[in-house]
Amino acid sequence: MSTSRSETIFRSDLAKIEVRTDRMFLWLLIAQWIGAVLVALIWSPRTWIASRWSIHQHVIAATVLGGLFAVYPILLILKQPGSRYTRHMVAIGQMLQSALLVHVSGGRIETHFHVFGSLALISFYRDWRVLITASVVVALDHLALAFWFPLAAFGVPVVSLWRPIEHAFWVVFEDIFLIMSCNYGIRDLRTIAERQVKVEDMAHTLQRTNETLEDKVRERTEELRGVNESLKAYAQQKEAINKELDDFTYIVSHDLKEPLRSIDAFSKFVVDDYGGQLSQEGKDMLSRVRANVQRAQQLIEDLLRVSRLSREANQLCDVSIRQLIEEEVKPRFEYIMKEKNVEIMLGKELPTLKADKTRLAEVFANLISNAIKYGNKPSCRIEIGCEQENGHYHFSVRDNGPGIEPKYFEKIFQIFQRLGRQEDHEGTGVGLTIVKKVVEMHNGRIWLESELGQGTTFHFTIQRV
Amino acid sequence: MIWLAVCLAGAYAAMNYDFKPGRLAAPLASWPADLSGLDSAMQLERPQKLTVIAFLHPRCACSNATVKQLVKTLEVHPVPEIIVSVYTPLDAADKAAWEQSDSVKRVLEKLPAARVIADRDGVLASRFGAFTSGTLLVYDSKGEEIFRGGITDRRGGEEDNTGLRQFAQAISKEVRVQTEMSPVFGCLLVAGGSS
Repeated sequence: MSTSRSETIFRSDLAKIEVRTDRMFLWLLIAQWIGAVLVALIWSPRTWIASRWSIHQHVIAATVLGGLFAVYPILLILKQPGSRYTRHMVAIGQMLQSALLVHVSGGRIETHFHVFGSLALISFYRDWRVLITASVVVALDHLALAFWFPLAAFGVPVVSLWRPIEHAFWVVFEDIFLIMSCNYGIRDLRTIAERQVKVEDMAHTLQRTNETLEDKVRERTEELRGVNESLKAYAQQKEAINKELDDFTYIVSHDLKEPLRSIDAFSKFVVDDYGGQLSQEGKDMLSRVRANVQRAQQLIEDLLRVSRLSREANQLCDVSIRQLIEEEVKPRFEYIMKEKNVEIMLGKELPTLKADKTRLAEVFANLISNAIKYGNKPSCRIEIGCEQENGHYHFSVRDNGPGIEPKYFEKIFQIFQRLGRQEDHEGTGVGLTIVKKVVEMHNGRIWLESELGQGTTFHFTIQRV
Repeated sequence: MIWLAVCLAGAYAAMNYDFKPGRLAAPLASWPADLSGLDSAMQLERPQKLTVIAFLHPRCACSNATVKQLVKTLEVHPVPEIIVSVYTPLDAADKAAWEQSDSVKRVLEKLPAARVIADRDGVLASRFGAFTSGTLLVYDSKGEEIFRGGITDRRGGEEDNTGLRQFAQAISKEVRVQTEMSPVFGCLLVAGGSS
């Protein structure tokens, strides 16, 4: 298939060259005709018999013969451009005009070069057969001289015979190279045609691949759009649910506080007013009722705190972390730091950043509180550091406590989840929940690294505003 | 085919004209005796040294080639006497324009010693039988004709040819080498002759 296609392209290109060369000869034949007439008029305008003159035969020959040699090839070029017959007739006409030019110039050697130039122009057809036709015309011209006009052409046969042989040699010499050039030209045209077929095939394949890719991209884009829509809807749904939950939590917590307050108050009244009439067991039971009510109140209070975080927006301002910890957080633990030999060390690179000051203080306070609460060494060391990374601040709070098992890494951030027994460590288990929520409200995230027996490092990021 | 045939016929006619020599009389048996009635300017003595006489029509384009060949050959083989007989109509209004044509000037420029004779109505040419422009005659020192004919191979031709070689041999060796007259291609110097 590609062979026939390349052949078609080759034939088409060759036909264009042949037509183009025909057109070139159209103008050349006309120009040469005019040129021959001018040459004759310049060199030999008149012939004389004594004192009387008439138009020189050369002028008549140039005008009549020049036109005769050109007219048929010109008609063929106009009627049948590109045909094999046309270019053979063009070759004959061109070489006859060469001979005419030599004739009207009186055989000047310079005009003989027109023959060689004409052969070169004829080779533009890329058809060596046309060159042969042209060369045959040249040969016949010399033979005609030898046959019809030997006296003028040769005189002494042995010596003068070399002239036409010499002319023929140079014509053959040039023909050899012109024929080679024609064949190279044909071969190059074929190569170009084959390459064109290859390029077209590659372009076609590329186009098909492109179309397939575009379809796939379109498909994937649609899929992604769908997924995006689903994710958006899911996020909106989640947000709505979270808001409902927060609202519910707030309302329920708020509404539960009142009855609990009543239970606690009336329990106190019973102890105060009827304590003397109660048995020790009765008094113990009432004590326990009050302790549980107080604990329930604490739980509700903590729940409300968590709920309030979602309801109220961040109040952003410039916060110096060093100043915040030194002036707002550490004072809360002043007493217990002395009692439990607690040392809090601050890193050198603590920044000033835009954040909610109160909530950020809550984060550091809760982390420090947990480190102190769960510390099991004679002295408690807490190191607070910060590194600036692309677009956020990366804080770390490291302690030398007992460490946390990896299976609890996620659980400790859930509300009311605690490690160890209630009796061993006070608190309701909302501290890390609050820390996580505050960090997330600052577009950050929190995670931890821990080694049992060595200590725990809490990492959290705050987005740079 | 018709076209080719017509082209060939036309080419033959053109070549026929180009290669058909002009009229030339046979070598004279002796120096023309009846030169005495001619104009004194046209008087020619029988040569006593090697002499070349060239008969030219001053407006013949084809004879320009003869002049070029003549000058080139005489530069190589100088000759003691060179006479250039230039056709001039008897009734010409501007005789100087005829006598001082480009071809004559070219001869005088290269061969200043050449003697130019105005041949009124081609009388001299007729006496010597040189009816065609471009005819050359060579006489040896004994006054004998050793060359008669042309030195071109065709009208306006400037290629090497037999006539030219024979002329060069005649003036260089002062001997007759021609076995027959070499053809002359040019305009007629005498009305009534045919070329």
